[in-house]
Amino acid sequence: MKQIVITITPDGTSTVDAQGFKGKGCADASEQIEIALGGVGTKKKVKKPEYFAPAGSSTNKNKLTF
Amino acid sequence: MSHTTSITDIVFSDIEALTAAVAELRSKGVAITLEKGGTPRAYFTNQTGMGEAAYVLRLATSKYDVGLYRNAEKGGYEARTDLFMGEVARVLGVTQTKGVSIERAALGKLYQTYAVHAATRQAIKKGYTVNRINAPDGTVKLVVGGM
Repeated sequence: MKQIVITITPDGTSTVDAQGFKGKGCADASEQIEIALGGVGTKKKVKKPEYFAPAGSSTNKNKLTF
Repeated sequence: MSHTTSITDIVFSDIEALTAAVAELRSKGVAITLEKGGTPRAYFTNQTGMGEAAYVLRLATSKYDVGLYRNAEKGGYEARTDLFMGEVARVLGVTQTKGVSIERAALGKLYQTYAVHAATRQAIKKGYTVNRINAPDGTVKLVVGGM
């Protein structure tokens, strides 16, 4: 299931965790939320392995783009 | 899972979210109001960096206020205040944890409440659903679905 879990600590530090996505769909879904939280250029992003998988398929590695 | 983004630097880019945050803080007993323009109170009348602000968060039970100043580079407004004698932290502060600056902790309630409303508004604007969970430790979790 695709979802974004946003955790906001008492001091306002936020973590945006895009779950269940393959490929760059997660970035499209969460980018505006991240900008709303931290403006531009103030975030640290850690891409998970699934980020580099093609959307809708986890087997066709030839279509990987970076 | 696909990616995780940590956001440690809050800028206020959604004034409607800020208005909602102020309303929530007021409902929790914080004497705070949002004004457009004006000069926030500080120790010195002409305190450096605390002149005319785009917005002022007036704190009725504190000697000092919080000013919001345009930061074009970050695409929003940044908060400035006078932390002398813990006047502002007494009203808006949270316990300082490891890795969190004094300045950040002093305005913690404001930053957290704003972040909750800014993220919620943005998610709803994109047509998503939002489920808010208030954890016992004070952390707020927003589960965004419907995508």
